[in-house]
Amino acid sequence: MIRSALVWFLALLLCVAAGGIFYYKAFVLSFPLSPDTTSDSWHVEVRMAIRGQGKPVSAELYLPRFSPSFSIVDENFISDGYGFEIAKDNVTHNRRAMWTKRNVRGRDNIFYRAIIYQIDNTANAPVEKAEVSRNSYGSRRFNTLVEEGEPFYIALANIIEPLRESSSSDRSFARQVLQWIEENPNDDYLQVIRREEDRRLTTQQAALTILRHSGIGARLMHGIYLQDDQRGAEMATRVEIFDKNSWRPLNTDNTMVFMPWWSGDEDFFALDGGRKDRITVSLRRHQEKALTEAIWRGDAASEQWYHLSIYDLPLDVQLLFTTLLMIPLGGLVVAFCRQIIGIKTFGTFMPILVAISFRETQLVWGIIIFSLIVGMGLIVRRLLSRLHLLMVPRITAVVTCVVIILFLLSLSGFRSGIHAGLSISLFPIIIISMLIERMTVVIEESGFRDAIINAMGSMFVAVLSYPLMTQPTMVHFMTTFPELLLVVLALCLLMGRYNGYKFTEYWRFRHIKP
Amino acid sequence: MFDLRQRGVLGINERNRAYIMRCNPRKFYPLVDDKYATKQLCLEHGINTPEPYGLIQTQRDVKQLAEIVKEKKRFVIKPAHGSGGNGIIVIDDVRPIPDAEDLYIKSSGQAMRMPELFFHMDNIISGLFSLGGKSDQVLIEYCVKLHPFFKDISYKGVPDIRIIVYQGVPVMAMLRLPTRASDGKANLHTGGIGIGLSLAKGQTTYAVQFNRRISMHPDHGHALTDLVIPEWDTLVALAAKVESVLGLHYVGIDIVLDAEKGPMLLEANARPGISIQIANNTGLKHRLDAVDAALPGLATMEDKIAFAQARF
Repeated sequence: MIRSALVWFLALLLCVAAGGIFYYKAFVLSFPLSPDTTSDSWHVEVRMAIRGQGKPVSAELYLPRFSPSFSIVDENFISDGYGFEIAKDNVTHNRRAMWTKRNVRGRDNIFYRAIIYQIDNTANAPVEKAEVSRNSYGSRRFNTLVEEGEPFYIALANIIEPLRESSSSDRSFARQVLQWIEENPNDDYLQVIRREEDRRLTTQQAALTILRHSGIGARLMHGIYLQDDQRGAEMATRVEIFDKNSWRPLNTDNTMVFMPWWSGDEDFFALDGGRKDRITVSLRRHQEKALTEAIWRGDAASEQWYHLSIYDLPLDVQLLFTTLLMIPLGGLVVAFCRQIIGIKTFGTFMPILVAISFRETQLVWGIIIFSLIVGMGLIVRRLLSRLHLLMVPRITAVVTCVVIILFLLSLSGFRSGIHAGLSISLFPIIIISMLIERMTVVIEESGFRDAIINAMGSMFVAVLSYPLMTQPTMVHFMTTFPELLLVVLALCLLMGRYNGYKFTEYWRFRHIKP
Repeated sequence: MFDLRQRGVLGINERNRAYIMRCNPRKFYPLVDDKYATKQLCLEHGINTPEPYGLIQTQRDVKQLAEIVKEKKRFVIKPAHGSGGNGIIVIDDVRPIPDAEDLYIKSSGQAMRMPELFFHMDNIISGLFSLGGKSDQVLIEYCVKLHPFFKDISYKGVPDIRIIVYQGVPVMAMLRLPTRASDGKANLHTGGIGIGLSLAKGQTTYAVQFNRRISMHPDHGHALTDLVIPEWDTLVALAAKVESVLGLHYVGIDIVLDAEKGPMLLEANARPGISIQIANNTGLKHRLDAVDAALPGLATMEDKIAFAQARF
């Protein structure tokens, strides 16, 4: 009795403490109560398909540049058998990755993946300088060249002069240049400039030439517009001018967020020695979006609370904790299912781990893979049982066989372009191996029937806890208000004192007479 | 269906919380989990148990088996930490073959040679049959002779009697019969028959297989109710005695009946299952409560047994 009272008291205390902190954070400090709908984090993937011709291949690709408004985390390069390096240009701040391989036959895939967070960190922005032509309009050298009858400079002077007169600032001038080129693409003077520079000069490149010769720093910035999930995102190019000590885009009427990738005139991708098959850029809104935005929103008043919160941790650790903080919730479901309902599972943690791996494989694929593994494990175990092997080597043999089969499946899935195969990343694989191990132990100890009952129970509990652990509002609550873990703890204490019947016992003992 | 409480059924949560945690100190668990240790304790206290012939602890020593069973025609090989009757080999007879190795005949009729027995012992030691795969020891012991009473209602193996003893008072008893479905093991969840027994006389009251009521033996059709277990009072006294030496106060005591030596302790269980309620078609909770109420007035072991036999 005393013990029961103590547990109730403790549970109450924990709930009051959690409630208090929660109230203060949510209503006094106004921590956000719901995950923000504006998305700030994106998964970017670039995939290059190269067809080799038996010759050495070198492929170069621009990577997203570091910029004050975006933070690039979790960069990943997957390129089988390629030498790889990243070069950074200190003047332009462009980054370029280079892959080389001596002998490429058939088709190869190179992947680049990154998670991009939108931030506002202009304070730490690198100092940039603009590059203008020394022979700019109005300079003595420019005038001399015009007087000498240089056609290129005569053309420039004739384009620049009227536009300059009708504009008030560098910015409006630059806009007019761009507009003028768009409206008169076949102007004679423009043809002269094209002949001098490059016949295939685009509108933007032509504008760039003119602007640089007008004493205005200008550059081309390539990047992508961050909008809904896209499988084949297009690289966009815009003109930026150096105005009031920073680079600003010329056109600001586009409301979509632009993520700069690289600047300059060069192509996104350069390939030497092979044939480019395809290059696709895909873009996906990232799930854990709410969390990261709040990090950068901290104001001075609530600063000490931020120091106590997950947002004070480095980004990658935060991502780890978003998973970790959800585990107790899964545990709560498992405890409930086992203690109160009476569902049998492989251990306590296995269903939670399976649910976590569902996060990466998605639910349907997760269930398919899970059933596949359990089925294969049972079959392999059956086959091996005839060999009379000792227990530990036998369990290892089963695990090995199942991993081999999984690997082959994953490989064939990838070859045939099914990407779910690839998404079985390392983490679920480890969980899966543990699952097989547990299952074979159960087979040894209590037979196939129990193993199947346990497997179904585990899957059921995992499917039940999966939505709870991944639901965005739930994730947001647990990460923003980790004090809610105290409530989980209180519930665990109460459940641990549960003395009543399990649900399944009502069925099991249904025939017993009073 | 939802009135288990009124029917006095003991659920697993309550068994764990209110009985096992309270009555069974963890430090005594090794005593019951290790069958050899249980046996030693019984021998010290003069409790009847199948005589141990030998204990083999390492793979290197498995060949000692030949020496240990040289004079014996019948013996049992079992893991010291086994569960659910797994890994037990019962040798019924030894048949010498001229110019070849002896044949060891299992109770199922199958013959084995010495190297096969060595291999099996090897498996036991490497932990094939122990919980969690921990390395184990091999116990070689006296093979119980089937009591004539069970000849008709048993299939291959030897039936055993489980008695739950709470605070020195036997509270519920069940007879477990091996069947064809359970492969000769007296194991309820693999298809053995559970038969409820009255503690007063050792009379069979109710029989279940796979949690369903049955009235006769599925393998040979003999009636299963209203039989009376021979030497019942000795058997109940044995159970109470074992409980008193173990230091555990909510235990399942498993007893076998030998044709010559009478009731013998097979093993004790610190976490006895709750299926016994199905076999008896009655709940444990009311009985446990009755014991709690009467306990202050029960001084000696004899008092407790008398109370149990009068009430249950």
